Amino acid sequence: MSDKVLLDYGSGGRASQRLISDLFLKYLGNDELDRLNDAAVLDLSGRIAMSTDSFTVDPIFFPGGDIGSLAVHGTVNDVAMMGAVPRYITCGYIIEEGLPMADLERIVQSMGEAAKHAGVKVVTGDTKVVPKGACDKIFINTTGIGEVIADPAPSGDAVLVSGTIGDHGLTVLGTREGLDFEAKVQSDSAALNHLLVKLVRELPEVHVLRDPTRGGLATTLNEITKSSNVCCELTETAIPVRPEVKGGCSILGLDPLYLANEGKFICILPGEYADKALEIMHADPLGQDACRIGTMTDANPGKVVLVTQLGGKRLLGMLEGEQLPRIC
Amino acid sequence: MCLAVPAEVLSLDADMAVCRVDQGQTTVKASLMLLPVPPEVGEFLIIHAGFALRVLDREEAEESLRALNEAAGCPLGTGTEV
Amino acid sequence: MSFELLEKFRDPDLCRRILDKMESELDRELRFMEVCGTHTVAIFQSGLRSLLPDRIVHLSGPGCPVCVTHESEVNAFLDLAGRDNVILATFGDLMRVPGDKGRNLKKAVADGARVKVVYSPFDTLKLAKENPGDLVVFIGVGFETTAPTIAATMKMAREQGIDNLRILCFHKTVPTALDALLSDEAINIDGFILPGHVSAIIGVKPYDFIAEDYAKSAVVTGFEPLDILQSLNQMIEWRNRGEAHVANNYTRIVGEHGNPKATEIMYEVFAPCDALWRGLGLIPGSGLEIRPEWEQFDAKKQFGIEIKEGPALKGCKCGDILKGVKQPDQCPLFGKACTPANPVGPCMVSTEGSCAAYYKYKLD
Repeated sequence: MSDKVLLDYGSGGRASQRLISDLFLKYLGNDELDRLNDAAVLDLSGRIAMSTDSFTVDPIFFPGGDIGSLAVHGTVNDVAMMGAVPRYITCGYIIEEGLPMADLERIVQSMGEAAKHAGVKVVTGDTKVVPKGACDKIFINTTGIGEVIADPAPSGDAVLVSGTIGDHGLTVLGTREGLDFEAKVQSDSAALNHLLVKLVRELPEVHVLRDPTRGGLATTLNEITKSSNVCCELTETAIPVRPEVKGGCSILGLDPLYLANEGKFICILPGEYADKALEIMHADPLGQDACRIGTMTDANPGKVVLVTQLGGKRLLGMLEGEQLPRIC
Repeated sequence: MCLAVPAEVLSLDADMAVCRVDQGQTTVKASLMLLPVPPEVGEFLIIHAGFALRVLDREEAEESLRALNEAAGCPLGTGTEV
Repeated sequence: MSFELLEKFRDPDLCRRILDKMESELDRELRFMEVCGTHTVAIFQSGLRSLLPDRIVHLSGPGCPVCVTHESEVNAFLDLAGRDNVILATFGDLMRVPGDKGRNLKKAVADGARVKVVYSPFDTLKLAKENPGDLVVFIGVGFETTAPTIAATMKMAREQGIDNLRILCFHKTVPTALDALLSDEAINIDGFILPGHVSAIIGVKPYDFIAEDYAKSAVVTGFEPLDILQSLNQMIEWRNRGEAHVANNYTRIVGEHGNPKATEIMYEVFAPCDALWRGLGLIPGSGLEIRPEWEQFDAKKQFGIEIKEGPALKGCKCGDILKGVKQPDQCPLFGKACTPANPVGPCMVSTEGSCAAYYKYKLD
């Protein structure tokens, strides 16, 4: 194979076949995928949860992961958040011609590892190669499906978070902007489904599971409070943020509560089960820093309120768009 | 227009300093061009847009805290320890 | 000096006690204005706003340089955005500031403009070296805290023989703007919280006129909750004694004479000039322009840019808000025609302008 991805590789001919057998099947292969049929035929029962997402992150490699592992984790987590066990995912690539083959291989290998670790199979896929400039290096779409084992409902008492906030957002921003600060942060991108399924199976009641990705903790909680017309009151000092993330944010004028997380989730459930939930999370490597950060209340419905370190209160609203470094 | 962070000088190299921000290990480089006198390692700088504006004065900080404690009706030696 | 020591300026218990004391000494309403976007954020974000007694009225002044960048200045840099062989370099704060016809830099990027967000002006030196065939134009906004950093960058550019860097100089200065504000009879403010980091550069003397000419108090203040409370506390005490003073409460960073080296560098490159402020109009002597000896870096000369006053923003009450006569929610456009998504006037434009802060943080 050539050392760069060429237009030929997306055209369906022999070059494409080589790409599939030498790269995709090598790292992603399983019984179903190996059949290379036009469509995968699957066995599923009961209610199905399905989610799709496209990944265009820049840079494509960053501390703690890459666009490939992100594409698997993101979709696997979205399915699991609905109280479902993720089983199968699809994978569509749009590749800019000229992408180094070594980069593509690295990404596909990373996806294979992520999928294996999450216990999901890539059962069907597609590859397109577009002319230079028609996309930025590589875009990946993944669709995941799973079997629902629990029904979420928007109400609840204790608000828990599974770990530290802001790691992914700061890592990507820092790496992308080439900002001249060195922070020992890395993306927290991870597959959460095993832990989520455990929680759903072992707790008598869980009301909301959501991963605070784009827009961060504050945005996700706002979405929850608006759709369920309750208020979420958070205690600032209880929200876990790594010192490195705090430091990086203070230089750039960013608020960690609005930075993306790719390996964390929010869990909202009746107060009496909070301790048990935390116990389950602490026993898992992905939930070591889990803690309670707030409570759902009736005051100020539809809003998220932050009780500050000082003991005052302020609104934690929705952002207009993505955060940018500021000096003002 | 005043977002500036306090940072501890870890090392100096000609007109630049490498500084630590907050208790973590995040470091930032800052130009010393605007300082009248070069700082020493271990001193704290206030950094804005990649430039050090001033060296923080420890004695003044302690004095401010003392004044605050007095104002709060909390005489020296009690309340927030300096 | 240590981070632990600095942390003490946030002590919740000490804050509570100072607040109690202030409440007991307050015999009538105190209307204070802070003149720095960073103070606006500090007061809201720390939750201090929600803890201040009702009779202490917090007003936000024209201290956000992004907010007060005039419409014609914004249009000037937006016009440059689409040009061939021009790379615009800017602080992130300017990306969503609206120009005419619904333009802003974010949209310009989507249309193919080359705009780079930088954290420090000296990032432009590398950008210029890496793009020798293009002109790198840095949008210079900011008060006396930031202007010296751009001046220093220009000196470095000259030393390094960089000839493709230009500065679009929209810097403004604080004391002249305060004077203009205070000279308006409609003003209804008892005292000022003065910008801590601007003062780290210019010192305390430039503000003496506030007490001398206008018999109002003003305190150079830091950005931690206790810094702000201490300044308010002092203002109440002085007022109770029938006095007005200009003082420095941020002594750990601000010296009486500021930072003479930084001021020297700033005025080596820049000279005072008249400037247009969004929402306030022309304030004589309140801006900075590039001196003739440095004109090789002047983007206004390069591109023949002239900044002119235009039609007033209809219905916008920013002028009144900036003078402390109205609060954001008293403007008819607030939250309806004027929101962070579609800002009309300066107070809503920057994410940390007074109306934007109100909208974003205020709990009813």
